This record gives sequence, C-alpha cells and structure tokens, in this order.
Amino acid sequence: MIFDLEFVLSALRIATPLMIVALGVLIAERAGVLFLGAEGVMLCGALFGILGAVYVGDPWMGVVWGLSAGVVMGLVTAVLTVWLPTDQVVMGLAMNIAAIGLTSFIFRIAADDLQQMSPPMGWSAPGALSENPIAAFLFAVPPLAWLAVILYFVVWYMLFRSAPGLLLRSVGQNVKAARSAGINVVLVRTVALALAGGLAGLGGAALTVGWVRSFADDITAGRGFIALAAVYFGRWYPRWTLFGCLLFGLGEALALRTQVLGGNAHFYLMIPYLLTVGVLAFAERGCAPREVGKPYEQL
Amino acid sequence: MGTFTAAIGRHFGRMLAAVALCGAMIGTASAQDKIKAAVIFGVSNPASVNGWDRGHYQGVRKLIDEHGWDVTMAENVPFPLIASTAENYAKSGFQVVIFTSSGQVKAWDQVAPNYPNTLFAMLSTTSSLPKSNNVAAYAPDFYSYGVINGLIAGQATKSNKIAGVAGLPVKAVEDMFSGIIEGAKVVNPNVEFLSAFSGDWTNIPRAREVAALQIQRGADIVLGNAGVGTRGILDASQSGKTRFVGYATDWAVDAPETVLSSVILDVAGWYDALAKDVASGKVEPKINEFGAKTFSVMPLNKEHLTTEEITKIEDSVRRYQAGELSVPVVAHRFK
Repeated sequence: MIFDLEFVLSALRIATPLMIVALGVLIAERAGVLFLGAEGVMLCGALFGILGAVYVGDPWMGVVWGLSAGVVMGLVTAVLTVWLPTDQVVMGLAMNIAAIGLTSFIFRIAADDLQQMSPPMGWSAPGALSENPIAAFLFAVPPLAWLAVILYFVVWYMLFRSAPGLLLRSVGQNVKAARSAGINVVLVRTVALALAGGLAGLGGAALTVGWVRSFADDITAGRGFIALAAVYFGRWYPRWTLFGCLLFGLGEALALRTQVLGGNAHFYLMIPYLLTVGVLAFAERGCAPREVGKPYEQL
Repeated sequence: MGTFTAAIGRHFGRMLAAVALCGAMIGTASAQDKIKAAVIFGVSNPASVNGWDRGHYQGVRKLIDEHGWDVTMAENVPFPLIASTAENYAKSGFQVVIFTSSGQVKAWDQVAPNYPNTLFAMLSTTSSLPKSNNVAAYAPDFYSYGVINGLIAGQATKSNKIAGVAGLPVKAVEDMFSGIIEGAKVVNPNVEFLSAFSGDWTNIPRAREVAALQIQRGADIVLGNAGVGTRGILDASQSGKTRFVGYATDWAVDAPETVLSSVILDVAGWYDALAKDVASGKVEPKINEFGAKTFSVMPLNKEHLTTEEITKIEDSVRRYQAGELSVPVVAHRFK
C-alpha cells in the first residue's frame, strides 16, 4: 500500500512543479542573477494558469497563460535587477511579497468565477493499451511531468551543448571577461530571466492547472524556495537539481502515505524536510556561478 | 476572457456603488447607532473558501445586511497574533469581537477578562468559557453533525469504506469523525471509516494527496474538513471517480457530478442568534449549542443513488433529527 505505483505517481505530482521552477532558477543563476523571486513568479503563474483554464475552458490554455505571466514577471525582474540594477536579494523578496498581494487582489475579483474546478488535464491509454499495466502507468503520469522531463533535456542541451548556453554561463561566471569578449551582458541576462520567469510561471500552472485544479491565496506555500534549494542541492547542474526535486517529492509522498501505519501525522510530515536537510548536509559542496547576486553596473 | 473583463468591470462597479452609498449614508445615519463588531478569520478571503469559512462570511453578511451592524473582518490572522488582534479591536472601541475557529479559544480565554466592556463571542466549538461575564459561545454539535454525515455515507457506500480527511485532529474534527463512525454503523454495520489528516488547514495539494490515498485504499465516499485544503479533497474525489459529501455549505456548484450532497451548518443562524441576543440585552456567558435539527441536507444526487436509496437516507436523517433514531455517543480518538 505504501510503496506501489500510486506512490510513484504521487511523488511525480508533487515533484513536477518543483522540477519546472527549479530549471528556471537554474537558468537565471547560471546567468549570474539570484532568482529569489521565483516563489512570487510561481504564484503569479499559478493564478493566471487557473484563470486561463477557467475562462478559456482549456487547461492547456491555462498553461500558456501561466507561462506568459511568468515571462512578464521575469522581464520585470530583469528590468529591476539587470537594467537598473537594484539589489537582487531585496528585489527578490519584494517580488515575492508583491506577488502575494497582487494574486490575492485578482483572486478576489475573479473568485465568483473560480468556484468550479478547472477542467482536468489528463489523458488515458487508448483502448488496446489500456489493459497493459505499463502503458496504463505511463498514461497515468501527469502530462506536465512528461513536459518537465522534456524541458530537462532542453535546458541541459541549451546550457551545456549550445553556443547561447556558453554565452549565458560565461556571463554568470565572469561578467568582466564576457563583456571584454563583446557579449551583451544585459541582453543575455534579460533573455535568461524571461526564460526563467516563463519556467517559474509554468511551474505555478503545473501546480494549479495540472494538479489541484483550483487556486487559493499563497497556494505555492514555499515551493518556489524549495525549488531554489533544489538548485543549490544540485550544485547548479540540471541532473542533480531534478534529483533534488524528485527526492523531495518522494519524501512528501512517503510522509503522506505512511499515515496509514497509524501514529501522529505530524511526525510523518517532517520526513521530506528531514530528508532534504540530511541530504544537503551530506551532499558535496557545490560551487555557485561566481556572479550570482552581484549587481552588474553598465559602463 | 470576456467573463474576466466583465468580472473586473463588476468589481469596480461595486466599488463605485459602495462609495456612492457611503456618501449617501453620511448625514442620514449615524455610525454610532450601529453595533461595531470585528470578526477574526484564520484564512484569507473567507468568501472564496467553501465550507466553514464561507459559512462565517455568510453570517457576517447577515449581521451587516439584516441587523445593520458595522462589521470589520480581519483575515489571515496567524494563531500567535489572534490575542493581540482581538485586544486591538477592544481597545479601539469595538463592542463585539467574534472568533471563528476553535483554534482561537486560547486567545479568547486570554483577552476577554481584560476588556469587560467588549463582548467576546466564540462562534465555534468550545468545551469551556473564559472566566468572565462578557463572553458567549454559539457552536454546533459536531457529533450530531457527524452522525448525519455518517447516515448518508454509510448508506451510499458500495465498497463499505468511507473516508474522512481533515486538516488537524482538533476537538471539532474528533467529534465529527466520531459521529460519522457511529452514524454510519447504525445504518451499515459493515462500514469501515478511514481517517487521515493533511497537517494544516491551508495546503490544497497535500490534502489532495491524502484524500487520493484513502480512495486508493477503497473508499468510495469522501468527507472533507480541511479548511482551504478541502478543495484538494474534492479534486481527489473527482479524479478518483468517487463521491464527495460537502462540508458546512453547499458544494454542488464546485463539482456537480461529484458531490453526493452537502450537510449544511447554519452558521448564519448562529450570527443571527448572537445579533438578536445583543439587541435584546440577553447575552449570557454560556455555550449556545446548535444541534441536529439545525443541520440541513442538500438534495441527494440522483445520478449516484436510486430513488429508493434516496428515500431511505432522507428518512433516516429525518428520524435522527426528530429523535426517533438512536445513535450511541462514543468518543473516538484520532492522532
């Protein structure tokens, strides 16, 4: 009952939004920008995702709305932290707080229309395959979990196997050298933050549209920060970042399912956090991109 | 998209109307004529949180619309700040301070004796009163409420497994779950009750996963009392193609095909009773309990039950409310 295919599916549902947001954080930080506002961007994506799904009547349009909201928030972050530039820590925290207020305000306006659950996002195995347990399981995996896997390969390829990725990493590693080489640092970081914001918004939509099909104030409840921690845990590499997200998902799914053993629910709910702290404590120390958090002054 | 634009238009239209109304009221009615009250919520935007908090919001509307009270709502107040929030209202001249959750009992006990000129009302479950005369409680009998839920679920289940998912095992939940167990047993001795807790009252995803697990364990009827998280329980129920019994307010609008019925708590009625007691000067330091007769059952979903089953369930609820069906009172413990 505890360790079965449903357990894996539950862990995937929990980990999917984290994985997508973490990939966004990874891109931003690889470009040398501390993306502390990921939580707020995720929250905006969560709200606009559900708005899109409800008003258009199509969950995939909700995903597009969430992603678009994230891109806008990412560009706002770029204006504030790259173009001006302001302190990245302060601005990240301000973005998170502002996002709570903004989403709560819009949620109140639209609350009457959001009472009904948004349309489900799912697919089922075609007739001939529905009897096959492996096919049935693969079709039971949330569509956005598959998308997260695809995004992982795209981000990995983009960062480590492509010329734009090399530009992006060089800007995050040594901004003076990059500038001397003629790289437009502001442009690279702006594009990186637009991508990062889009992914954080998509992660928010994965939470509301792809998982619980409704919205509540502050529904992300710190998941953006967990994604941030997963990037640190993963030493700024996609593979280990994703592993960190999956580990948290497994821990939380385990915590919820072990309740069937009896005992105090709170004890089990500590599991994912203890697991995260434990793994972080024993994980090899990573080396962050050198320019992360440093404001870039244009000459 | 057009609906969203219309929603924004409606909202600002209401705001303008409210401003105009306030302007018109200045000079025609004195604010001093109104009872000034504050209602403290643990959640934000209670109107949007179907169940317990929306019930309270309807009660607040009743105070404003029918009794002419001047009501201020404090939303999203964390437990450590409830006492100081209530204290601030009392210091600011509010005549009535209303608590909306049994989790606020400690603050109620702490603040009420210090401000004898303010009435502190608890509109939730409590087993005791603060040592003060300026207090009153208006609370449902959650055991009876659970029994009615149990009578419905016990007869509607096909798998003989029903699940109750709550935020935390507080007294109100323990009473409700105990009532469900005993109520269901009376009409279906083979029924098994699966209880689970999501760990808080706000986490929709977590509540969803906990409920999904109970469905995996075989429950085909799910009852939820997890605050904001109840939306997640409804989603799990819908995704798992099981049936959901709505808590406190009518949930049929949220997911018409999934909701079997809703058992309504007349929360607005408690506010009405409070307002009438205040108006007549008959507020006493006692717990005013609202029992089985005050609960109502929304029409049972005909897509899930036959006419015979519906008649049987409705009859058992009616007999229980009339005192003709005896259900033993057994306190179960949940961790």
